[in-house]
Amino acid sequence: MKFDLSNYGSTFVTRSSGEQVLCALLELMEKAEDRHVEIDFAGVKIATVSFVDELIGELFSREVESSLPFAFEAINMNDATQRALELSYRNRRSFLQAA
Amino acid sequence: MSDSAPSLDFVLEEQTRNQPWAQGLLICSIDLSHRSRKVILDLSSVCFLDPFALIRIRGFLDWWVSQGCHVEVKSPLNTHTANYLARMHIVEGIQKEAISFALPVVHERDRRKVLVELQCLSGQEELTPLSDRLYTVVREQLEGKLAASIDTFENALGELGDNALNHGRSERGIYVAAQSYSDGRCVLAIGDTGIGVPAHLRNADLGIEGADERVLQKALELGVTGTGNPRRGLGFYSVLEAAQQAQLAAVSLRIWSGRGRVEIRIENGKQVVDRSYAAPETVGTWIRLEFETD
Repeated sequence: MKFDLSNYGSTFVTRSSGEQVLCALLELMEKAEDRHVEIDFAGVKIATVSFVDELIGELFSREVESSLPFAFEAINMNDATQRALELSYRNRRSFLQAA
Repeated sequence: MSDSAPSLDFVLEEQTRNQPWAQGLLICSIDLSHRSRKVILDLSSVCFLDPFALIRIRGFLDWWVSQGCHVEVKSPLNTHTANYLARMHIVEGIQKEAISFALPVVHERDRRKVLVELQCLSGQEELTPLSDRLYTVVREQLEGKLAASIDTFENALGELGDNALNHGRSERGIYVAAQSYSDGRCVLAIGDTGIGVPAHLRNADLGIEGADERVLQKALELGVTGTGNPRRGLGFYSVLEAAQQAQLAAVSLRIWSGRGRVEIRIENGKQVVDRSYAAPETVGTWIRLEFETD
C-alpha cells in the first residue's frame, strides 16, 4: 500500500511532526492487510533531518530490532531528503553497533 | 547589572568587528537602584543592524520587561537604521506601558521576498508557516544557483528552531529573523533566553566536562544530545554537514551560549575556521547563520 505524505502537508520541519505522521502510519498499518508500505514523499517541499529521523529513522531502528511487523520503503525523496535520511541511518547504525 | 542579565556586548563586538561601516556604539545604562527600575538602551549612535543584532536587542528588551523594569530605548539617529527597526517589528507584542521607544512610522513596502521580520515563536506549529516564509526569502537569493542550498537553509531553521523551542525552555519562546541581501548573502538568526546549550548538556549528565566553549563545541558532534535519547543529536551536526555539501561560496555559523562561543566557517565545502572560546556570560543561546553565494 502507499502512504502519501502530501496528505499531511508539504513542509515538515519539526521532530514532533515526524512523531505524529509515524503514529498515523502505524495506526493505518495495524488495520491494513498489506504488509508492505511505500512512504511517498512526492509533493514534499521541505523535510528536515529531525522529521525524517523520527519517521523513517525510527522505522529503520524497529526493523533492525525486529519489532516492526511490516516492510517499508521511502520513495520519491528529493536529494536533500535523501541526504537527511542517510544522516539519520548513519547515526542510528552507530547507536545500534554501540548497543 | 546582575550576573545573569543578558549582555549586549557581543552585539557591539559583532557589529564593529564584521561590519566595517558600523560606527555605532551600543551604550546600555541600567539603574536598578531607582524605585522605577528603569533600563535605558541607547541605540542613538548605531548605524547598522542585521537580523542577529535585532533578535539580541529584542531578547534584551523582553528579559528586562519580564524583570518588571521599564525600558527606555533611545532610537537610532540614523534614519535607515530607525526605519529598519520599525520595519522589522522590533517592539511588536511588548506591553506598551513597559517600554518607551520612539520609532518612525514607516510605509511598509512589500519586502516579503527579502526579509522575515522579527518573529517571537512559542510553539512548534509556528515553525511551519515561518519555514514557508523563509523559503520565499532564500529562494529569491539562491534559486538558479543551488537548490540544495535552499534546503540547507530550511533545514537549519527547522533544526535550530525546534532545538530552541524544545530544549531552551524559555518562557519567552524563541526569536527568529532573516534577511537576504543584494550582494548574495542570506542571514538567519535564531535565539532564546532559555537554559543555554552548555547547561542543557551538563544536566543530561553525559560526562561532558570543561568550560562552556568546550561543551558547546561538543554539541556540534553527531549523536551528542541532552534529551536522554542516544538516537538523537542530529541538529547542529546536520546543519554543518548540509552546509558543507551545499557548495556555497561560504557558510558561517556562530553560536553564543552560556560563557562560550563557537565559530565555524566553511568555504567552498571546506571548513576553514573552527574556533571556540570563552566569552562573557549570556542568557540563552544565540545563533547566526550566514550564506554567501558569490
